[in-house]
Amino acid sequence: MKILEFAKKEKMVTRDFPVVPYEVTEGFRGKPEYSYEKCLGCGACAVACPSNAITVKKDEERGLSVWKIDYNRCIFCGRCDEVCPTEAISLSKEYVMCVLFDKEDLTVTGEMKLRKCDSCSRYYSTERLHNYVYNKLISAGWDKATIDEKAKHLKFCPDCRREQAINNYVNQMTKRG
Amino acid sequence: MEKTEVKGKKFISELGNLFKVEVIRHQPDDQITILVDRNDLPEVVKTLYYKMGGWLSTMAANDEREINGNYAVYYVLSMEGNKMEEGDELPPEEKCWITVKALIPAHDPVYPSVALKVPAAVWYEREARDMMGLVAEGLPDQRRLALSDDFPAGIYPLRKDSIDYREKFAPYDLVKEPDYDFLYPEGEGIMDVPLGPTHITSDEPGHFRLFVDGETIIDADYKLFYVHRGIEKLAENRLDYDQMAFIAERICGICGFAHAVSCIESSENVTGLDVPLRARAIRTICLETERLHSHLLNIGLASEFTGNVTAFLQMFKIREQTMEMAQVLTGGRKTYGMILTGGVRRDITDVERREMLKYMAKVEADFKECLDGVIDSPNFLKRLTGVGVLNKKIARDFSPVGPNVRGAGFNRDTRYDHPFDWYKNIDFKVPVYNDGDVLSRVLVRAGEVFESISIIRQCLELLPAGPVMVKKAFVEPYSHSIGYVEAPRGEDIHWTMHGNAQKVHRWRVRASTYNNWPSLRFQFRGNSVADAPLIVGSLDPCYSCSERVTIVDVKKQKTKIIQMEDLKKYAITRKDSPLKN
Amino acid sequence: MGPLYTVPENIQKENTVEKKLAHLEKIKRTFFVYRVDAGSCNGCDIEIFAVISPLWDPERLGFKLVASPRHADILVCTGSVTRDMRYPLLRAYEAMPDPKIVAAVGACGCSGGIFHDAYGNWGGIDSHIPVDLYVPGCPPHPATILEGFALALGIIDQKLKKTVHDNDNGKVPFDGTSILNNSLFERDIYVESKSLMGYIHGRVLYKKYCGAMKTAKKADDVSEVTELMKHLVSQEEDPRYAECLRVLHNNVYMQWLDRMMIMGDEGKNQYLIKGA
Repeated sequence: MKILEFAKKEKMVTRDFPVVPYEVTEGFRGKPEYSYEKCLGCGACAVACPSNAITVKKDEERGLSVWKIDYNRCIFCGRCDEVCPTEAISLSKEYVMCVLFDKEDLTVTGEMKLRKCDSCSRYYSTERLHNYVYNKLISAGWDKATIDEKAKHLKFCPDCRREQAINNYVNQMTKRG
Repeated sequence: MEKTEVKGKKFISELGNLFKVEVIRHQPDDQITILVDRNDLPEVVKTLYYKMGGWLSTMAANDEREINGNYAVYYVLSMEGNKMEEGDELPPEEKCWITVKALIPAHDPVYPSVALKVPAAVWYEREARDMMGLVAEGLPDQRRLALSDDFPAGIYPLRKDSIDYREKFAPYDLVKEPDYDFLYPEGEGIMDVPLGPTHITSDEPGHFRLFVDGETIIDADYKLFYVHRGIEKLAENRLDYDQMAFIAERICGICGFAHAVSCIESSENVTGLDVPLRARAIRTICLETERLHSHLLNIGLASEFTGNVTAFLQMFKIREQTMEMAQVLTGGRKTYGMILTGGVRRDITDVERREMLKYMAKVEADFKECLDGVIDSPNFLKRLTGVGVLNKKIARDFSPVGPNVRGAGFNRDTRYDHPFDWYKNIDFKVPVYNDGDVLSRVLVRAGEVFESISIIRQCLELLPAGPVMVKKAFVEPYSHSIGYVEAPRGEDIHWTMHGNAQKVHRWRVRASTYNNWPSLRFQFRGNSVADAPLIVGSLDPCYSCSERVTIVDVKKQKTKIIQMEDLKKYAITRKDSPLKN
Repeated sequence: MGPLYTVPENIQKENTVEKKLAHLEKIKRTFFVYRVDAGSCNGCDIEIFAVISPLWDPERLGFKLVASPRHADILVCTGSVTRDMRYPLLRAYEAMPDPKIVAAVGACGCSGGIFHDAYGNWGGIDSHIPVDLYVPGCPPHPATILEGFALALGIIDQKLKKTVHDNDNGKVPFDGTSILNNSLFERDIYVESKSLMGYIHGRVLYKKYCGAMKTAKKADDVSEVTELMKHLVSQEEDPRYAECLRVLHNNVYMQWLDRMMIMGDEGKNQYLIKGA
């Protein structure tokens, strides 16, 4: 009977949800919110995501990089938030996210223009990522010549960059004799 | 890193007098690996287990064909003393982990069964046969155990060259659903009571067959592993170290953080990574928070099974407080998403610290009062006393863990035997009760709730300064070690061999419930059917944890299979028992 | 491999969207729920239990948990459908009266979650049976689960819609300004903040630090910055943030001054901020 006395002590504990919204605490790990304007399409989140909820796919035909998050698969770990360089994806306090019938309603897609390699004209990176890295280079405190030298490499895809590096090295070595 | 004195040399030199033993060490100082001949394996494990006071913690079968052309089995023993009486245990400086390794040639994947000498090994050897195709010679029960019934025979998923981790073999038609081959006992007037896999009293799938004479359970058989998802193979293929913690959390919905810590520490241990003190303290807080909500749920369930639903709901009310606290601590109601190699991902600010202390005070006061109300009921005490007794001798044979073994009078607790994280710096008691019945287990849990609250308080008050994360170190390929944690249900052991691409080569998860299932059959015997859910519940079983799980060993001379129709007919008419002859 | 399971025709006929919606309208005041764990980690199931607890009390909405699928209006499924649980799940589905409303709870139920491609499971409830209500989360918060029921019964409206952003203008979120005229300084501060306080609190710390630094007239004037930081630390209410701000100043900022050859080791001590 003691248990009843205990139960009586606190009168009403039931929350009035969903009429009154539930207050979440500071730092709640809710729905990861995507901000298209900030996204670079670098794909760090897709690499880090343990459950493959975030995917980045190249659409060569349309020249687009397609970023997509599927909240159906998201495990709300916040790794995307942790690795994102621009806070384009960050955990919000949102917990209201159920959908009826169509699970596609739980996806967010962002399409970004791809950039062609100056040498082999294959798509290799998004325009945004290229511009962002260039801006970062400028602000890293080097002199103009160094920046220009480094910026040159930005315009090529990783394959061509590697090839050029090897060629340069070979040239230097042969010049030296 | 400066190497300190290696523990456990005494055992090795004693063993060396009896067998040919080669010491190989890939591990930190309290973990020693010895290599023995496969034919010596049963005797070596038996000597370590019974003579030197070891307990079987885990066994891992490994495919090492790309390293040395062989398969290998690793029996991990926790050396802590027999503990049959008070004081019968090793001094703290001698407690260590000894791993017995034996190579098994690829062309002849057979080794003598250890389970005949040490019954605790029975599940591990069945699993090794299912997953790796290693046959333990002499093992009595040859039924399939870990893989689903519709999985093709002859395919051993954990062999490196067997299947792609994404391979999905076609299932059977619904009407042709495979039947499991339960072992029916013989005798007159015995009925079987199926329970599960979906059943209102149990939260998770598991199929129990209780064999009853009247109201008394004379034996039981059970099929579990309904939740085998293929986590180990997945981790070996798709995931890197930073992602593994998250899948480890999802092994189990309640003791998830314990698995994550165990998994991450198994790789930290091998590199000797110096995890910041603050991170260790936060890990400890999370582990104890998990223990709190798990135990509160279990004590609640115990009262629900005895018909006291009010108490259950009140316990749940208190449990919600701890969940809210976890939300302050980690941002989610489960202590998920907190851990990465090198530390924790989230700090505790002072505001949060004070808020958590407030929650702790409330939980402690409420729990004290509520527990009083629960224990006060004579109905509750009567239903729990003398039910589901775990005999001390059986416990010693099967190496159970957690409140199950502590309720049977053994002082076994990983936090106390092999202190990890911040437990060295903290004062706590290990509650032990001697009766071995359901009540003892409930009382152990109740005692641990208070201890947990005190541990969290100490951690919060002594929280060290400094960073919460350091850079991780390079992991040497093919080194291996274990990570160990005391989860709410007992010790969790993760054995990891690291691969050569900074990914894991073999990850062997052993959840606490895995060690508790085999002795359950003995706990069932002699009790009434009505107590069955209570007994299962008192183990606080975690089906998904032991998702590779097997069937209990039934030592019988012959088996007999009865047609379901006969049994049904018999159930109705009670005449012409099909069990006769 | 063909479809894993084809819903029998008679069941298909009785389970059109119109019939389901009509049924949902009918059960608005009270609905019976049967729960199947199709191979979950148990996290979602405990959260469903938590929903049933007095704190959330779904019986206000008419929720009732039943012991047999034959009594159920809504089948609540969790888990990624393991090979073994496929059969009980389908049996429960077929045993339900028509029209059958199926809710998938949790990341595993919705799509297989983190296990989606492992060999032991089929990846989501909808790999086998049509799902009507998706409740994402790992595990879903009790509020999310309750919201799902409220949504199915038409008490509240669906909030999320499929979103596609496709107007890329190539602009990037970067203003190009930097405190010490070198964005690598900010990077170092950010890395140290994260290692001190993790990614969530670390970002708050980073913003606190950088916000204060931006108010400095000359960011490489060590005495001005030290005074500024001392003030910031003394104003900080949370001792943990104060401690970490000191570390940022004493370690990262001072190191950078050293690197930029503004100040070496000598005389550094007077600019270190000490704890209380």
